[in-house]
Amino acid sequence: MWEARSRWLLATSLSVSAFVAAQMAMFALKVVFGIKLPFVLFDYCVAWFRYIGVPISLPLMSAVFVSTLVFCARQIVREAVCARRFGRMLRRTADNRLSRRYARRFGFDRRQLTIIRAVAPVAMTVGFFRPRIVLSAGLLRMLEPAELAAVVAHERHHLRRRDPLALFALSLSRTALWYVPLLGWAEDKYRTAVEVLADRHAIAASGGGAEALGGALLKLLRQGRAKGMPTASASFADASINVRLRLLLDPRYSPSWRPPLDATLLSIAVLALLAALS
Amino acid sequence: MKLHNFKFHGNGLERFFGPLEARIMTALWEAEGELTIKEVQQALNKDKAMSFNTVMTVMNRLVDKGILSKKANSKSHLYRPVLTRDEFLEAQSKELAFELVQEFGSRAVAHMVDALEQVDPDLLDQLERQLKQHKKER
Repeated sequence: MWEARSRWLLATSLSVSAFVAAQMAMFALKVVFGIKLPFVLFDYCVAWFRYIGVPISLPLMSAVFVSTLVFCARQIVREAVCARRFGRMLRRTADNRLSRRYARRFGFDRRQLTIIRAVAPVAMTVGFFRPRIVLSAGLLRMLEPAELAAVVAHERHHLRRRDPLALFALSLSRTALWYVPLLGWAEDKYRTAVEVLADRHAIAASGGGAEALGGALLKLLRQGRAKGMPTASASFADASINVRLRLLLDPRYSPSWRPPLDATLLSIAVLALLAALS
Repeated sequence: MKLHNFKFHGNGLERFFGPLEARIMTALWEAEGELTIKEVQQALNKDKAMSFNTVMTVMNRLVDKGILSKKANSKSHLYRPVLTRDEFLEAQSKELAFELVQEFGSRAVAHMVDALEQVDPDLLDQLERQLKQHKKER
């Protein structure tokens, strides 16, 4: 279920984004360069709004178009800057000896695993095209061997699926197409789904089972929760980490996949306005 | 206590502080108690002469950053580090790792655990109890 739904979420979100992007490109070609294309929904959209008397004009549609480009460019630049800064930080903090040792132990290519010198426990998979797993020396000290194997198996799953790239694509869609709120819901659900899938892979592949993964999660969460953090409230019941904990406690747990009504209606309205005009 | 000028290329305390700040912090941590500006200056003068005003300025800056605490004494002020050396290094390391996790693109990374503030503590307690139960049964 999780695998199929995650694929569906990714495919649908990216299709919607590609569709809107293509329409915008055609709209720009016509408005800016005067090139007339046969099928420009944005163009029809403006005309239709005018027809029904809604005060939406070409400048407003252009503003939406420009905002999409600006948000998109801003996020890409931000990610590029962060990736560069992160690369520098990795080079400075990487423990090459430990990285080589653990890469050999877990069967990774040397470039796929980096151990950083940090007391705090860190475990993540980063990188768009050539993802790598980053673990901290603090994590290695904190976890039992079986727990570490579970964490590595979890991250290996992210690495193989290139999850960071997919997460970035969904995040970019959400930010740029801010007027389709369902994309935000889809991104959140996808994040949960990829974490649950990685957990399942870790349980099956690491040899330590759910106990090892649960132990690792418990230590990471207990260690990471700083004093003074607000306690969780019901509004976080669907947060990725809570869904994962519930699934560890009860593998039959099935969270709701129903999208929020207001976001759904608004997204449908936006897309229907476009689609109905074709 | 968050330092914004972490230097990856530095060594020891100089990764977190300027050279004089690092020497002052070392003097205070080694003293294991409260010192006046004069006493810190005397400790620093063993290596290299420092003016009282320079030491005072830097120490008051460290107070402003929340790294030192300052207490009025009869004639002068007494200064002491807010954290021990080990506590400080651990806190900074955690801060660094937290930023590493939080700031890397933030959306383009798969974290083992994220959104810690959203964790339901009841679920954590349940998990802990279940793990203890499993260990007992083995």
